Amino acid sequence: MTSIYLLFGEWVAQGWLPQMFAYEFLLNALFASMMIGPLLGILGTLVVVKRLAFLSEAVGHSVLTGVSIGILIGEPVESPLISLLSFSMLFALLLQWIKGRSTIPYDALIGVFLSFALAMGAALLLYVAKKVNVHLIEQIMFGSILVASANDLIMLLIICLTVAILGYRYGNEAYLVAIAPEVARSQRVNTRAHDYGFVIMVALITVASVKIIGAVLVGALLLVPAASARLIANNLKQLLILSVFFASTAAISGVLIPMYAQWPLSAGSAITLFACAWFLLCLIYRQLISSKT
Amino acid sequence: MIEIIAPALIIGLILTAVAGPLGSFIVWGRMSYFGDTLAHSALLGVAMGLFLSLDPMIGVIAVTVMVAILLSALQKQRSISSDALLGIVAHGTLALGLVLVSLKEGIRVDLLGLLFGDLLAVTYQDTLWVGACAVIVGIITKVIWNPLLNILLNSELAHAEGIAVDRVRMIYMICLALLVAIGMKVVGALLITALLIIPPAGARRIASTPEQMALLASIIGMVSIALGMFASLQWDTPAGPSIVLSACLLFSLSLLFGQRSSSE
Repeated sequence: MTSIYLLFGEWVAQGWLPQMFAYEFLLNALFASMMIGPLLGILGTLVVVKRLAFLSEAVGHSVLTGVSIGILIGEPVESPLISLLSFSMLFALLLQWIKGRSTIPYDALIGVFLSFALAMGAALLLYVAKKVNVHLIEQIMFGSILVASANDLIMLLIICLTVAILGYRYGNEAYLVAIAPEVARSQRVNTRAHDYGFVIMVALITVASVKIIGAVLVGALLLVPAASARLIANNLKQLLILSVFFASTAAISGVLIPMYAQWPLSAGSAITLFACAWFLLCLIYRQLISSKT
Repeated sequence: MIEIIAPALIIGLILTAVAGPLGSFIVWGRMSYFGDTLAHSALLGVAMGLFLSLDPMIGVIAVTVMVAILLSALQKQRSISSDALLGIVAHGTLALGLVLVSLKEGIRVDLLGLLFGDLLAVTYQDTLWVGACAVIVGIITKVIWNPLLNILLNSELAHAEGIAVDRVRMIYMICLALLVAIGMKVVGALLITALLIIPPAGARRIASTPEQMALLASIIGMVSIALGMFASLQWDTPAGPSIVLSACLLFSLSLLFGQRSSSE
């Protein structure tokens, strides 16, 4: 890592890059956003096809509770990863498990879970923050480019590789399950395993990206790029490529532009707004196309 | 002590009393995500209010009503699935609200109060207009109760029976928007969904008719307000989250109770 920092430092010194690239935290955030973008873009296509936007939002919110439990039981404030991972995983798995066993409408169930996670997280966090740092709350909820560390990057890289391998091996099956579960079942694909695998992936990726984007807005980057891509894509390949492209550009510009222009924005809201801008562009483009024909 | 919490308690009780019936429709109509989206957009309302130097509440009501109308208009088109649309609007409005709040210079906004509620900032004046709003919403709910139930059961049949489906839906959504604006005061923009969904979801296991469910939902909501505020006073926990957690507690109790009665 140090050699990369030095390399960028040199480029800054030679005047090729703006001054801000000399900061280590910015480089960390930049690398993190470069990995988060494609990750969320790829998984987002599944979220959109399966219509699970509300579920992914609930899992995103559950991170809030995970963080505060982590801090409460004494993990370091910067990286309460273990409790985060375990809580979000548990949350996602429990939700998926109850789904088949309850008569309550699924969306109301998600709503209950979501509210519980948010309220629990908020209560614990407000309690914890008194001891630690009040700015912590806004950081966790809306993301910050200041906190990504080298360890986070390594973890992100591991998650990226896992997703890449799983995607290569099971990607086609996953789309089949998402688009036509009955057909998948008739071909002896284990749809239940896919459903559980999917929520685990959502939980993993949410946790990985929460530092940059924040617990409340992480669902946005999972959903908006893929939904925009769906507006203008003609086939699955285009959907994937466009979604990854939108998510990556939104993530990277959300990190860099506010820093460059010195806007007092949290990274999460900037990223979300850039993603929404792509969505608007796609919407306009689609309108133009359809009005021509 | 009682003078400080009395307005908050009154508003909370009024809110949940009205939220019971309205929330029941959310659970029946599977519109939880819709409620959540409206709640998220409330933050944009506050930001707009601040920007145009209006009372934040006027901003909230205006923006949530607008979002409700916009969403119900957009849900008819086929190019975006409705849950993706809701997600985009929810996150977009929330992010925009955050940005506007942070760009407004000179005013330090209590962001956490907006997101998670700040019951102790409620005054007696607030209780007056909240009460007025709630009475209006309550009367409207009573009037549209039967048509709305018919629509939820079978909208084509309701249309054939001469109910103005679109108009009743629109009125219902505007009522929801008003409720969100009130709820913002009590539990904050992120937790209003909880008060709308959890009490009816809990009542659903016990009640046997729609009216019972609505009534029970109101009662569960009011009890959780009381419990939450008590906890908040007793152990100094934040009020909004405590209220929601008490509602969750009552919900899980109803699950136990409901299961027992169904197995008997």
